[in-house]
Amino acid sequence: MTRLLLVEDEERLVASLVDGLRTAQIDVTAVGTGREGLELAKSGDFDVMVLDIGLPDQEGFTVLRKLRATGSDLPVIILTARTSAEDVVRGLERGADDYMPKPFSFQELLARIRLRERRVGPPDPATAVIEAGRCVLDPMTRTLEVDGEEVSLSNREFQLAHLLMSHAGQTVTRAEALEHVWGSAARDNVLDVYIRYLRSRMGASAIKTIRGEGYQFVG
Amino acid sequence: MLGYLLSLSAIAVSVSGVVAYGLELRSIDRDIAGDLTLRAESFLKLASEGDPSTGLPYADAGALLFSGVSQVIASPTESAVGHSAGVPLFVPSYPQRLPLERDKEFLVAAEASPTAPITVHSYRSDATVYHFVSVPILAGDGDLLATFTVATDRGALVADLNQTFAFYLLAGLIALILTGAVAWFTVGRLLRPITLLDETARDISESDLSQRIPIVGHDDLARLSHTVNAMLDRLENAFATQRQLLDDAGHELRTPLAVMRTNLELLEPRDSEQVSATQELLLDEVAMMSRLVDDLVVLAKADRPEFVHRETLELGEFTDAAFSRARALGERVWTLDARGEGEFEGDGQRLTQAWMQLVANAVKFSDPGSPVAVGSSLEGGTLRLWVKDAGRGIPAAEHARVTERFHRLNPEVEGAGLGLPIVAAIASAHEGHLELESAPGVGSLFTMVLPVRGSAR
Repeated sequence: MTRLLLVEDEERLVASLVDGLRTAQIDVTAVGTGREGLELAKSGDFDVMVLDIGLPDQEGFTVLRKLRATGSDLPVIILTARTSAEDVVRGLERGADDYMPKPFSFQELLARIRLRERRVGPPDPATAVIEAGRCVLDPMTRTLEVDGEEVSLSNREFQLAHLLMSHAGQTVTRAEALEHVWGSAARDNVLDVYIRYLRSRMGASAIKTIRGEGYQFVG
Repeated sequence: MLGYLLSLSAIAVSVSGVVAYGLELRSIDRDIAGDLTLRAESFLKLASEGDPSTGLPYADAGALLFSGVSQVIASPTESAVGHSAGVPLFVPSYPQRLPLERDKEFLVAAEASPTAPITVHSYRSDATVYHFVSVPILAGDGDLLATFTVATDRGALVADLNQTFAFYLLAGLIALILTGAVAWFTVGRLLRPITLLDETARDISESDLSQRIPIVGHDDLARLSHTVNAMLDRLENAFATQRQLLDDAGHELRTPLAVMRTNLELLEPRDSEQVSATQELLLDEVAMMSRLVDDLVVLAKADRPEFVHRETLELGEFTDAAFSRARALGERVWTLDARGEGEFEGDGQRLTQAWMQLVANAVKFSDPGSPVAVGSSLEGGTLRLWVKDAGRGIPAAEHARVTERFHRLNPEVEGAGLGLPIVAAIASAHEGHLELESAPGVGSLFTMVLPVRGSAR
């Protein structure tokens, strides 16, 4: 799982980004100040950093400069609410790898994170194409094909499909599914809605209900 | 400009030339007439007094004519002739004399001219114009014996004059050319600042208002340049302020837009719980953006004269109204510190808006149940409207920055940081300012200090 450090002070933006990135298998640690961001970035526990320029305690540029001064080569994507070329140039000069002007497209941010994240260790099994029965799921393009026909999926639908298909023939418990896709078991009723939708796309028999346990993808 | 100067000079040269020419011509005619009359008179004197050498009367007309003609000092433009029936009898001996005697027709015409009193006549020959006086010598029975004629070649004199004036014309033309050259140089020098002003004004566009007109000397043009430069300063300032405002506005609107976009992109349409949560959040963002836009519009308008609509207000009533509105803004211990009285001129709506903004800030940064005081005074031509709280207070280092747009002391508190800038803008639109006394942990006292216009004493 990709570990991402998000340094952004706008709480509502942080909340939606954390949620959205989690559905893309990205583990987000969010802080609201440059000081905290720099401390965590120096710890070396992250694969990529998303850094806002307008922070309450110091400018993102400063954080970036200090980070680079420690010799860290952590990939950094800066977020800026200013569109002037000057800001972009300043950011790139101080060692940013990429930048996103606000308001940005979440999908684009995600694509850039994927592009920049530090690739270490063996290839992530989360990105391998899964073929099971009539369905082909490509995590890189986040598309599902059923009998060669493309089906559009929302983030959570994709995640649920991925979870079930990567465990084809095994039972995935309701608790596992809820924890994996929604991050909590509290949204119990929503799982049924999503299973119903996937069945309508993959065929009613593709997902079997294991009474009292969970679901099983049979293809 | 140059053409104008040249025409003016040309008119001056022509008018003086024409007038001088006319005067010269008149003086020539007068001189001719005087001269001819004098000669005729001296001939008449000779005729009546007789030969000056003997004192005896002349024996005959021939003798008189001879004596009269010999008296005349001829010149190339003047001569005399004694003649009869168109035949010259006597002429002066000077060889270069005006050859009157050769013109028979003239002699005939002279004999036919009226005689007394002495009259100057004019005769136009093929070649020239003669002015002449003829004196007839009559026999006892009134028969014309002979005629004494003295004449001046006016044509020749006028030709002389014309030649002189041809020189004058040439000199005038040269003078005009010189004037033109000097004027071209001088006008160019005089107009250089204006040309520069023109060019600078043309160069100046919204993107580059930084140019200024160089100021040369201390004359009217320097003053004009000063004025234009001052105007450019104001324009540049206004444009810079507008640009800054737009820039800030763009910056401030992008963050809520980013929140909205991310939320919409991640919205799971089949998750009804998330849909309603997102709806709530987005409506909240929209409300915030609307407030921001409203505030920005107020600030953008604040520089314009129509921002403030002055009316006559009674401070006591105005204070009461504001105080009762203030009390509705929160659970605080509300006090009316002072209630000023008297009339003043001001925009009631804007002043209320500013005052309520101060009250709202006091409520926002203080605890429920803490005291908030509102007050007004009108003394010495100065109106004061204040709000005092016992809230968090503001560190001294931040005092100067609180009226900066989008400056927020505490980013966690809701608001875009436009409240105090609006209060300050309203105060300065009333030619006043916003005063602040504050210390952390003690509380803040914000006072709008406005000079009073109108009837208040």
